[in-house]
Amino acid sequence: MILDLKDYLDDMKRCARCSLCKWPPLAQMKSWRFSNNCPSIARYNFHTYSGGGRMALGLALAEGRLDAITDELLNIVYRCTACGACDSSCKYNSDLELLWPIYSTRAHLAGMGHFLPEHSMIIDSLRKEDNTMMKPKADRGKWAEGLDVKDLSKGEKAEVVYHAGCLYCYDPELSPIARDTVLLLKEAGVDVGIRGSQETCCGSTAFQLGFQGEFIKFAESNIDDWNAAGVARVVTSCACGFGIMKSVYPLLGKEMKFEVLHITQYLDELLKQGKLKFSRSLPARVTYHDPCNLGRKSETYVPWKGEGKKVLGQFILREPEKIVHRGWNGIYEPPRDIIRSVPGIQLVEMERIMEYSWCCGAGSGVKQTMNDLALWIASERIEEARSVGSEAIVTACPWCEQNLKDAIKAAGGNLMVYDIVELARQAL
Amino acid sequence: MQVVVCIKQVLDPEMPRSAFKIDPKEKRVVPPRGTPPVLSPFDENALEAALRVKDEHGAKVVAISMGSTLAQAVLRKTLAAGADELILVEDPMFQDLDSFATAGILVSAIRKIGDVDIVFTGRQAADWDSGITGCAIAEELGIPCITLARKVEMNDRRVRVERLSADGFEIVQATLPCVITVDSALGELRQVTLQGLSAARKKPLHVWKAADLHLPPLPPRCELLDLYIPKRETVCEVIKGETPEEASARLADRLHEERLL
Amino acid sequence: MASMTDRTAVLILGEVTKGRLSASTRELIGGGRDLADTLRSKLTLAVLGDDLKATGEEAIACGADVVLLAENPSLREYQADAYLQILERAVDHINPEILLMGHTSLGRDFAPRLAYRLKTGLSMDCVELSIDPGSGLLRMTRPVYGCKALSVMVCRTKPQMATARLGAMRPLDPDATRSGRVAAIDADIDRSLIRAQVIERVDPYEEGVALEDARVIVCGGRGMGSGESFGLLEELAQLLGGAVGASRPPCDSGWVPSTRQIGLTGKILRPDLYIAVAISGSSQHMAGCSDSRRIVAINKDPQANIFSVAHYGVVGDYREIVPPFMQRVKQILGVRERDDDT
Repeated sequence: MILDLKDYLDDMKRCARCSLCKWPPLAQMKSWRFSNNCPSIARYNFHTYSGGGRMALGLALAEGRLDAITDELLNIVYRCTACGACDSSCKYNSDLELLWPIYSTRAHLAGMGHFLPEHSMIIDSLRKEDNTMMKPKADRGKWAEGLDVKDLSKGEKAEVVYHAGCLYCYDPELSPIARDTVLLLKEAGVDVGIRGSQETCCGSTAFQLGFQGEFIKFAESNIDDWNAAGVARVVTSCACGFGIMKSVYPLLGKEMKFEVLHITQYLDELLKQGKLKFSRSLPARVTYHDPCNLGRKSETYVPWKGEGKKVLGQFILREPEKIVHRGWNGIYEPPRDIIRSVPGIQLVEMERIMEYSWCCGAGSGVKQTMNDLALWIASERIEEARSVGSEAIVTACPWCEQNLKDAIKAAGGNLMVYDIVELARQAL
Repeated sequence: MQVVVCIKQVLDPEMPRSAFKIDPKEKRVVPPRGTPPVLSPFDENALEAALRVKDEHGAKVVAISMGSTLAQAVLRKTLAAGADELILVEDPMFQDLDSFATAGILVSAIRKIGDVDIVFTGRQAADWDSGITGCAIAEELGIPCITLARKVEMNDRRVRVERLSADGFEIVQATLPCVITVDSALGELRQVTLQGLSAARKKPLHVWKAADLHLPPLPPRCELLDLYIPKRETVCEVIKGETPEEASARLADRLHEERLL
Repeated sequence: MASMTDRTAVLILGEVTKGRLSASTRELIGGGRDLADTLRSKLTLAVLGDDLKATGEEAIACGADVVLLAENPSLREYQADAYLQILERAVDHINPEILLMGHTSLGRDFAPRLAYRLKTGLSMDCVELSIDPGSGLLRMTRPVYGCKALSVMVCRTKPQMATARLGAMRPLDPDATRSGRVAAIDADIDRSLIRAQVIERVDPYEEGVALEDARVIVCGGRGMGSGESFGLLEELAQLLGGAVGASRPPCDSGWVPSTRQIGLTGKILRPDLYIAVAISGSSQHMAGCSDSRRIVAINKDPQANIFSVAHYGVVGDYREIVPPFMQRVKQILGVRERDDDT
């Protein structure tokens, strides 16, 4: 399963340059201020930065029409969080793939040896230390020190394994949330274990940056390890990790003897089963930010191979029928149900939500390599959160949290950012 | 003082196993999609050796790489790690060359750079694994070559190199200029930092074509008849047990059966 | 200087250790014998050194037709520049079709230099050498891409040079009735051409069985975690009468000396029993042990590549597998000892 740009020639050729990729669908727009949905073109204002522009770029690359791969071209390619908003907006109206040609363009370039120098630091860190944070592998289990939980790396067995993810493992500000997640699950009576220092990256960053070889190694190794550990469920509180495990791992052709869940799905299930009860009241006006990887990017991608016949001169009939994932079936309700279950909380929705959510700005290596772009994207989201009068943003991904918090601090604001788990723990 | 490091760009030796495929007609490994080429690992050790000479003696480190299509993003790592200059010797005619032709071209580039005190190379390249180029460069330049270095020290115009030997190690001395091929026992290439990356952007990068060098005739000496992946036919008998103790005991019994103990 | 009018198609550069031909040299003579016979010509062995009295006889018994000896106190230890002078002269006179040496410490360092001087091609670390029936050229098969693939080369220039991996060829049974000719060749060296000097040799004496001689090898990898943990492997090796080796990472990390390294850039061995502990089984490492009679793998990763090349495997943490394994072995061997007494 390696991405081939040539598989998407048809999609890239059929981009009609309608520019829908730059906006949420008209029916979803609520104001002019928050009418963009592609952070890339909203910032840089040239067509090439939009979804359609990236299709044109990918097509030129696939057809060999580019004279040279310049640094400027690489900047254009990577000034994009691969959030998939363009994909969902385009699919409101058509059956074209947009996000996967974007991934394939990056894979194509990486294979040729073209990438941003900063990426090599992330990839070297993955190869040497099994994480994207440039920290030592030996410290991977430190976040769980003193935590009374089963350690699968020491041979203990559990029904559910909690995958913390690189960011939760190594960022001391965020690791308490990972600890809280484990404690929450234990309190609800879940037989949960962790892999401690044996845990390795999910491979999501490598995949999004186009380093398919690295991604395959990590993905296959994780699937093998979880199969061998005999766990029934893999639960993670990182949306990026969840997104890649749900949408891309199944494409490797390896049997996955476990179910992949995000913590919001699990908590929602536990609440509805009565194993967790929120008893404390937290009066606050909060809004929920849909992480891209938990929402529109979490549907399993089904690559289509078949024949397309043109009917009546312009309609394409595909044999077999092409299954198109438009982002409508992402994990949207469970986190909202959890928030609504907290007594005293008032949930207000922002304008761009669910599959048309505005990216937080951290995805696909942008946070590590282009912090100013990441902060600008986050600041837009913070504006939006303020505009609906919320006191806090609740979200379900450490990358979203880290970036939003950094942007608030940089601007000197006082908006709070909470992870769903933090909220849940406080409400118990 | 000026040292040159010869760096070869190779297909990633750590590519996923499933990605390693050979085109039988072209007799070439198919470049795997989504896995960029890398610096040959022993050449990274060679770069580390050169950078240590720079740290201790203030030498200027020039990295050179030769090939038919070189990936700048990959080779810039040499500058990010600390090399002062990068020279790409790139030309479509530099394809499928053997070690002697490679050495000939590198020597032309080294002569063009001029005033080179040490040439560092890795002990062998991760693709062709020959281990010929370093010595060939030295012979062409008429200078000594010390192979399998694990430590390099300098005094005046003499190098004192600790090199691996079959049963231990040796200390070899030679006067400059000389060629030193480096083994992984010397140590890993230092980590690239963000400062290194931003500094790298301002360092000089030159691209030389075949026409820019005074190349001697380089007739091929060997011919590749076939390139294939050998079939492996071992079936592993995995010995299980309820407990590790049980499995281990069963293993011992099994080996005893086969009269291997 | 002896006359070199015998047509020699195959010339071998041999090595002598402690007065005897090295294992690699005996293999080369065995394999070279085949090649020379196919080409219907003579096999010549050249040896450089300081006291080679017994060498001629030994080499002829092993299968050489002609043995050329260059004796000179300065040649007691290998030195590239000295060897080049002598070999260039010798090859110029003999004009062989094929020139072989072992892929040993000497061969790795010397063959490229000699090939350069002779303006000929060279294939290093060959695992198979044969004469192509159509062209009469030497077919040289050698591993590439970290031993993931094999390449077959021919050389269009003379002499066709190759270094052979230990084990690629088989020695012949020594036959004292074989006849041949021993001659001395010019061993004069112009010392002014020596460009590098070995000023110190450190061969740390290591107790116990040498890796090359061991019938059983216990090898540890990166998964051992530290140098101290190799103590467990030393115990096991002692119990089985074998030696301890390591893959590259423990050597690079300084946990064990580089002389213990087994693999493509280390030692290539063929013991009866090879026990790989906490080794993933990369092709570079497997190059060092894949010809072992039986390979046992102990690794906690059931998907490690070692399990696709080993004969027996146990999945688990070596800390939990090796001690009980040793216990059981002690019992088994103990039982044997009691039987011997009665």
